[in-house]
Amino acid sequence: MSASEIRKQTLKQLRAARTGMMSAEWMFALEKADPERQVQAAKELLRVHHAIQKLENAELADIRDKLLENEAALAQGADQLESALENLVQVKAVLKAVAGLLVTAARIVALIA
Amino acid sequence: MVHRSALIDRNRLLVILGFAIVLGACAVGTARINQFEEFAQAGTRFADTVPPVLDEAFRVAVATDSLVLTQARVGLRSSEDRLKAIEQSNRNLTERIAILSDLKRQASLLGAYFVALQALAHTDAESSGMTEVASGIVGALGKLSPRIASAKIGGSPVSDFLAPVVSLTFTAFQSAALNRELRKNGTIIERQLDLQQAALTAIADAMRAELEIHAVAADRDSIVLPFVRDGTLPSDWAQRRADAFQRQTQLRSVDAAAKAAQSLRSSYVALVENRLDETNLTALLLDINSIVTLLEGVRGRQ
Repeated sequence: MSASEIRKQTLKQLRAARTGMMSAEWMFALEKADPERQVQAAKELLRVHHAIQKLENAELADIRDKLLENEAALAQGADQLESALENLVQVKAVLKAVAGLLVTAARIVALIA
Repeated sequence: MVHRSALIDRNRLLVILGFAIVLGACAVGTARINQFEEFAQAGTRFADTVPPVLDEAFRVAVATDSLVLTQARVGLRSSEDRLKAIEQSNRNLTERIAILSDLKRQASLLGAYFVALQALAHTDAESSGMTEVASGIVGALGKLSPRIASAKIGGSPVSDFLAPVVSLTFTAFQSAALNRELRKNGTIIERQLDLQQAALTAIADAMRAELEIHAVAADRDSIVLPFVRDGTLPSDWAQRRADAFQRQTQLRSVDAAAKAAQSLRSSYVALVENRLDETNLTALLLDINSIVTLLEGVRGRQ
């Protein structure tokens, strides 16, 4: 099992535990417990909740870091598209220039004739 | 005489066939370019929906953290323990918002790429003024030679055929530029879409778990505890219970953003392999639109 899969499985179990500790059944059980047990239960809920937050952060940070690896290439890709667009505009300019040359040639022919 | 007439007819037929092929090639090239444009539009819309989804995900994360802290606070007896608890939560959430900020920026970069792709695909022959250029060339040629002005091919004037040739030239350049782009950056874009999908799936999993806690806490406080404890039930208790069952179905909508990312990636692969069709694009747009539904549904529950 990869580190990522272990993290996923751990998160699944921790989330289930946290949900259980927010339920009506858990609350009823705690109401009957002694004060020391109530303190321990509150700390346990926080430990589980904070562990979930840290694991989720780690998972998202991993993906973020992989996205960052490709960031320069992606920005370059967008720049290259803009260059391709400029080239296309130049193709249009060339075709326009050809049309212009033909108009000029037609005028010259008319003058000579 | 008969032989010469047959030759002229054959040549005329060849010219007509030639132009028919040119027109056909123009149509196929334009269709491919339209696919690029439509995909790029979908990609831009997807990239635009990611930041609001991430904002909502963070809002839900903070609300869940507050809910858990509130419950835990009842059991914590010392102010030291309470301070430790809220400080740890704040540190975790500060780290979370920084990561989400980075993810928003990555979505924005992807959006900028799709905007540039759309601009390249959108520069079609008509919008770029190529048809005017074609008319200009025909007009100029006509002045050079009146025979050209009055020439016909298969009964149609030569101007009818020149415009598609100019368009095809332009389309060929444009199509070559777009296909070059796929060859150069296809792998990177596919990887970015794959990672966006992974990020949104992770966020969807977290949101689902957090919304479940809110649902469990709401059911506990408004339905179960009033029923179990002594005293009169609230007048709307039965309605609250019915609403609670309805809420469980809505939890599945959090997958919309991750599903749209998956759909975008599949469509991109189809575009690269030249098998993207209207069905793919329609399904993709539906998935992207469902993200808006997700956001409205989640906000309504909070």
